[in-house]
Amino acid sequence: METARSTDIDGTLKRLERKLQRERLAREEAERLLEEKSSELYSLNGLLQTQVRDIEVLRHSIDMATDGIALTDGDGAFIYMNPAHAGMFAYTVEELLGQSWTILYGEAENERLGEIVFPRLQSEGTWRGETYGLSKTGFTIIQEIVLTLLPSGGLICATRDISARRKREIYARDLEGRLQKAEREAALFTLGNAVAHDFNNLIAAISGNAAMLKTALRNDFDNYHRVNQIEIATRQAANVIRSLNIERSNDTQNLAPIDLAELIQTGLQIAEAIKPKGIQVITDIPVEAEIISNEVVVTRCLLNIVKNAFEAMNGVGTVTLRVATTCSVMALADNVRTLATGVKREDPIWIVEITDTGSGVPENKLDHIFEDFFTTKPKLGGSGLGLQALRTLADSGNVFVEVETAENVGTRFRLSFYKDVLRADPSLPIRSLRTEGQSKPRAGLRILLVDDNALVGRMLEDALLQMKFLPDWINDPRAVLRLIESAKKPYDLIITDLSMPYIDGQNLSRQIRSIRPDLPIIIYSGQASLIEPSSIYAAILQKPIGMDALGVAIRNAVSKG
Amino acid sequence: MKGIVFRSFESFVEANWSMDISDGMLSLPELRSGGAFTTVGYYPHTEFLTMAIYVAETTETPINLLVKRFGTALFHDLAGLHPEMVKSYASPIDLLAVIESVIHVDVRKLYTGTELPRFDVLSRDANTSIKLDYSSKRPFADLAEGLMWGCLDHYGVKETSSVMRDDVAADGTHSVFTVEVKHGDGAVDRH
Repeated sequence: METARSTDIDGTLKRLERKLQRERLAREEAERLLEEKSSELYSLNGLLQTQVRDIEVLRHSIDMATDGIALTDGDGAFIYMNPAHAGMFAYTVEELLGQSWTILYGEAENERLGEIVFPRLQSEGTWRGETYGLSKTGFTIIQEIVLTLLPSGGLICATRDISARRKREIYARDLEGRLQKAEREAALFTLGNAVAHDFNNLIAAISGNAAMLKTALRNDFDNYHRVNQIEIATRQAANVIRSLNIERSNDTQNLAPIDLAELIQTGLQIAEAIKPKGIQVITDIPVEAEIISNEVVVTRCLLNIVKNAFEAMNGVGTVTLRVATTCSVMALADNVRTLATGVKREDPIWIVEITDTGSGVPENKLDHIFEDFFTTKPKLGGSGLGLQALRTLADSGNVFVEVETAENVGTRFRLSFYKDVLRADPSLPIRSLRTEGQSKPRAGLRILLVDDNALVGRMLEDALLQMKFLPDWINDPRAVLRLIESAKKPYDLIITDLSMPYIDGQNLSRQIRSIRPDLPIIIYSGQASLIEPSSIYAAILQKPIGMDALGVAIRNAVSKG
Repeated sequence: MKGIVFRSFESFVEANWSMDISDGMLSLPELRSGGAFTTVGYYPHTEFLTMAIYVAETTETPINLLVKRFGTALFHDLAGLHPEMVKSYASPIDLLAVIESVIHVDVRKLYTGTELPRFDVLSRDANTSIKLDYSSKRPFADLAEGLMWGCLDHYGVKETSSVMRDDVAADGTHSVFTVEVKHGDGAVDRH
């Protein structure tokens, strides 16, 4: 009995020992597993922290993105939205969270999205296109949009407001149309005026000589009458030329404030179509740069410069457009050849520089690039009117145009825009021939006649001699300043033609003014109607003009000088 | 198979029979773990079957009945360990309805790589009945049934409820259960 109890106790003890041993082993195993899990958790925690940081960066990036990004739940209610998305529609993020996306579209667009877009989105999982959103303030927002279905049934919407881009495209198309019209008009205007100018010169020569002949035939009635008929016929011929009424609508008279940055960006958008792939265009343009000029003329000039730059670079190179208040510090090259048109003044408000890395303008062609119908690339179909537009721009009176070029280095066009138009100088009164009274003739007055046409020049010289003046005729305007400065006896008056090679009458007048502000200047031209009255001119006379009227104009000019 | 099942089974055997039987079960040479189970470890389900067969034979209890009874006890142990998982649901039907969609999702989060049976809801009638499709790689339809009884017991409706079982596979890997909570004459199946 005692033995049996002892055996039972021994058995129980052994079972307990085994249980204890199992528990010890289980505890060790549990501790090992715990350690393993703890280590795994530590690693996972590190990974989680990294992911949280990544998500924060990502979220911050999305919040700061300029493109709109939004998420909706399966019912179409916004559950996330970055400020750009809300701002695009003039809402705050808080105003739109929880709202249905349909709030951002008008009735017709919601219908289109429901009937056309969403069925495609459901079948393809994503949809890309354009939509017409509706802002809180009622404006239409043209959106470029990408919609992607989420597994939860919600949507990711990434969108960009392209209203401004669309507006610029429309503006570019409109400007392109006006530019083409302006190019055609410029060609017609320039050709017409060249013909009119030559005819007027011929008529002026005939008319002037007829007037002198009449004086000589004062006692021969029959011949006097015939010469008088010639004079009447020449006046009628001059009226016919005038009645052709060759005018350009986009002339330099229509000046208005221009957003230079917007205009250049639009111009470059137009030029993109002709830009070779190997050419890079770099721009450095401040956001706000306003000038006073003619939009179409400035665009024509910039586009023609850029187009010429593309052609000069043979498919590879760089065009840099820079707008600043000062010139580039970096010189184009050590030895550059230069040409300029317009009047250089102090303190331009903005300077536009367009620099290319092309072949440069050939030396023998540089002096002619602003001339009508002159082109360096006849084989490429150049009209010869592209850079002539720059002269038109300079004629507007508040732009100075410079060209620097170096062979195989490149060319730089610099357009300096001034605040004030030169001709609008209120300190000097504008004198009119018709409103001035007669004054005594002043025989012996020294008059410098400037006209490239020999027929007109000689005729005028004869006529002035008959009127007892002392005229000097010169056919090259480039020599005028030197003549004025070197004359032993100073000139009392300048009579100049308008259209001449090298320097036109308006530019010449400005240059004369800069050295002899007191010297009266009469413009005598077949295109006198194109010139704005200005304090620079004592009178603007239309060719042909009778000798008596010329005499009156001279006397008035000198008496007020 | 999760160690908690083994530890719970060890306690179940000791409580219902004896430490002697439990000791014999855990000393079986077929157990590669040596019978030293921890709640946080994982062990082959074959070791559970080996232990269950030993206990059934030693105590002369039908094995299916043994495993069902253990299932009921296991539910109580699990509910004690994770009360938050149970108290969120007002009725046994509510809880049974979310085994697959919520509870197993949470279990997988806690124990990565756990292989769990599936409990797909075939139909449900408010809080009075639910039809579940059970399927597993392991032959534990009896254990699943026991767990359902444990659930009904936990909510205090065991006596007035029924669990009907239709075996799709004879080996206990696939069955359809219909649980009805009755408020009258009691359950159909009293294990």
